[in-house]
Amino acid sequence: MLLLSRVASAQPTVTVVVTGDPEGEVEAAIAQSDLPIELRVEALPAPQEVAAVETLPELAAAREHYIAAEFEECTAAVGNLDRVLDLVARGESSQAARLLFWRMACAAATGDNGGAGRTAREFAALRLRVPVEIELATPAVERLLGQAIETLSAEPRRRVRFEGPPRAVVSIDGRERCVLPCHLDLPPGTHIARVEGLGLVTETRRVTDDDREVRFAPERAPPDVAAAQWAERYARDPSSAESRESVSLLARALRANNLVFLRAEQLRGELRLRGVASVDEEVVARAEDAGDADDVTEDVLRDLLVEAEVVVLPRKRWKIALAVVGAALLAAAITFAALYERPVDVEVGF
Amino acid sequence: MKAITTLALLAGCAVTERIDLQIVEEAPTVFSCVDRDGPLVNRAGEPPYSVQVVIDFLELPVRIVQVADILRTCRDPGCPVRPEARLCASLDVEIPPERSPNDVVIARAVNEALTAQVGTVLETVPPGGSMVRAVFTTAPCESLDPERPFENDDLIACAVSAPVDLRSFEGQLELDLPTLSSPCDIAEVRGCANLEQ
Repeated sequence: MLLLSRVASAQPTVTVVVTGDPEGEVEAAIAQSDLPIELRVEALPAPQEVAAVETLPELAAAREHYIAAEFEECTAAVGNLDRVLDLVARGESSQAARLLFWRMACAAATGDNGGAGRTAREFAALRLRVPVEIELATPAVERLLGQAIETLSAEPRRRVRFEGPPRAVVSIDGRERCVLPCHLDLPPGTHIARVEGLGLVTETRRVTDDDREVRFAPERAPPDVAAAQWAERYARDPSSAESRESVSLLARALRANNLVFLRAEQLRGELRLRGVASVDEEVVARAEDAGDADDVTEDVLRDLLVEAEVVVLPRKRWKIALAVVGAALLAAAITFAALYERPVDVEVGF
Repeated sequence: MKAITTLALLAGCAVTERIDLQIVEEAPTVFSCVDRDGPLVNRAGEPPYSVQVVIDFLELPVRIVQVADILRTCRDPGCPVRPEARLCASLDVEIPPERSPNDVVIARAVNEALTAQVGTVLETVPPGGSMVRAVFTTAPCESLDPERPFENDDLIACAVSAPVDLRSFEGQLELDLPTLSSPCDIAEVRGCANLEQ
């Protein structure tokens, strides 16, 4: 897959993306295009590498203190709820669960049953998965956690309304989701609401027991975020690349005011080319054709760019002028025929 | 472009149509009117009658069909005669010797005389609504002034058509005298002959 853009001094920059097979033939045809644009080859946004999950240093410290029976130090090492919620907001619920577990275990070990109980409730409220470290904990810690989960599940849930960009998805503690605008029934406690959407910067909010409505106003995703989102979406579902959302996202990712996305495929020995054009991140034209690579590429590009009004071709303009004159003449003829009174030679006599 | 030219040519083609005027021949005809001296047709003497026919075209909206409305309209705002369209002609009306000269026979003879001696009255009709009027009088054509009313003593008969748009009318246009009395009298003939006055 290649990214091509052609720049002419008198014409706006047009970025052309070609994907599919045979990519090379289409690119060669674009290079020979008569359209007044120049080409530049770039790589498409690549999927971001998923960073390996590293063990949190505070977890390692807590574990060491616990094993060494340094329970006060253990409690100090694991930090407070803010750190846990921050991890949940980043989607690292597994780490958050382990941190909370160690907080609970350390507190219980110091005899702070109240603190351990509150931590167990926080754990239950966030509905985190119980970590493998539970095997190291005392039966008292297991019992506290079991009681907290049971108590909390018996308490009534509260309904919270979520508002924000339409079609963005809000998730609570990485679990239940709904498409904005929507509402969810949440168990008591503090939760992390996370809203995600194409072209938007992910935004998180803490939702406390006092909140009944949460309004999100996520920022517009900058090009690097848009590129990551586009690549992730394309890797997951390549067929969605020609959708309005995908093309808009790609245009932003590539900083392309004028973008043409072309998908080529071989069908019964001929090239079939589908294209989408966007201007200022809005899809404005679609075209499709099949046949010889050179002709098809030129025709599809021409159709898209003329339809998008990115390129005004003299021949097309002449055709438009002719069509306008023709339409005017036709309208005049129709008007003449409708209004004209025939010269009637009527004789009156006996 | 070819189609446009064809359309224009078709639209430009003049069409010649003909409206045939005819005095209604059903009794009582317009020649049945009387004054205190008897039938007005007697003013023309003995057959064959020698009379003048004056054909006028009065401007009148087509929508008017009732006699009362015609009279009212001619009084206000008026139904002026189109002076350029006036025709006056002398007629010799022959009555077959075997026929008694009643009003129906006279009307038929007048129609025949009009066809034979007058023929075409107007070659190009004016636009808008018109009412055709035929006034039969003993006064010579050269003495008739469109600006002045017909002389009462010269009138023999008067017939009018319904107001029509002559440009769109086709076929036979009948001329008659709507009357309120039987037989019709000189007052009605005078009114008909001087509608525009």
